[in-house]
Amino acid sequence: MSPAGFTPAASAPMFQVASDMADLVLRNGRIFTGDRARPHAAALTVSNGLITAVGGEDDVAALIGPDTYLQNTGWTPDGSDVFSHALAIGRGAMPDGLAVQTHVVAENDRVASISLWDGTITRSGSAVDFTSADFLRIEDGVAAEHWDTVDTCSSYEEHQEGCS
Amino acid sequence: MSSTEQLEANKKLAREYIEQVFNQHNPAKAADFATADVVWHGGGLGDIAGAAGLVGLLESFIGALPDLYAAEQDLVAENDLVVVRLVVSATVKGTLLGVPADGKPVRWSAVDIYRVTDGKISEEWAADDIASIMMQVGAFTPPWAA
Repeated sequence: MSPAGFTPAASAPMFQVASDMADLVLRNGRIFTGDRARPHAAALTVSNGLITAVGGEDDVAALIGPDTYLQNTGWTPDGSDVFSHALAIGRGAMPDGLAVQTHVVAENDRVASISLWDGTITRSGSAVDFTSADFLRIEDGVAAEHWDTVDTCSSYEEHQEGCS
Repeated sequence: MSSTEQLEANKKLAREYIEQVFNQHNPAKAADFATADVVWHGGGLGDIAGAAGLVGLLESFIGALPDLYAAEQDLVAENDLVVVRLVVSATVKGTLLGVPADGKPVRWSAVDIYRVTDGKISEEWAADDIASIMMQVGAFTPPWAA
């Protein structure tokens, strides 16, 4: 299943340098690859601070923990399916959205990152840019727990629904 | 100093900064922990350059939340960066982000990244859940709660 307005990548990963389980998995994205033949991909994985795979949803699906996945962000319940669904809704609201990770810091079973998001809100047509900070706990090679803070005020301010 | 010792020293600096400046409510002390040209990045709140500017920001922030307590939940370090995840609790006693004091308790999640240069904080990225604060003080109702 692909989010609205998005062309899924072919079934095989277009880029993969390691078969180890990822420290960080980003899905439902619109990732610019720089490859004219396949300019966009839906997902990428990071291991030891390096991008290790870029490809389609199916390529990384096995890297997110199952029902035991804990989502501590307040905006979705626990469970990988629920989280994937929430991401798809977000993707539908901002189909051209791009996230650039500006910082990735890993130690033991934790990976922290800050991402700068840039895109257009379909409903209002407004351009938005905002940051998110994510913390992941990795267990047996899959994301088992997630915390984040999102600069929600900035994203709403830019489509005229600011926080105050 | 070995790289492991360096990482531990950087972590200690971040922990001491949070303890002494925020939890002991001493914003002026921030200048002791930061380089003179420190840059604070606040996302939608903007950026502030220089130790004096950082102290001014913290005087305003901690002044509005005089019983603030930032409880460490997670802390990781790599190279010259330290990332800490916090749950912050406080009571609003002064004007906060333009919202008049209402005496309400607030509690929010925060992630702070510190860059450490020669034993001092040279850069900080503060990612606080500002929307949650604004909701708790009644200044903002997000579309999903309307």
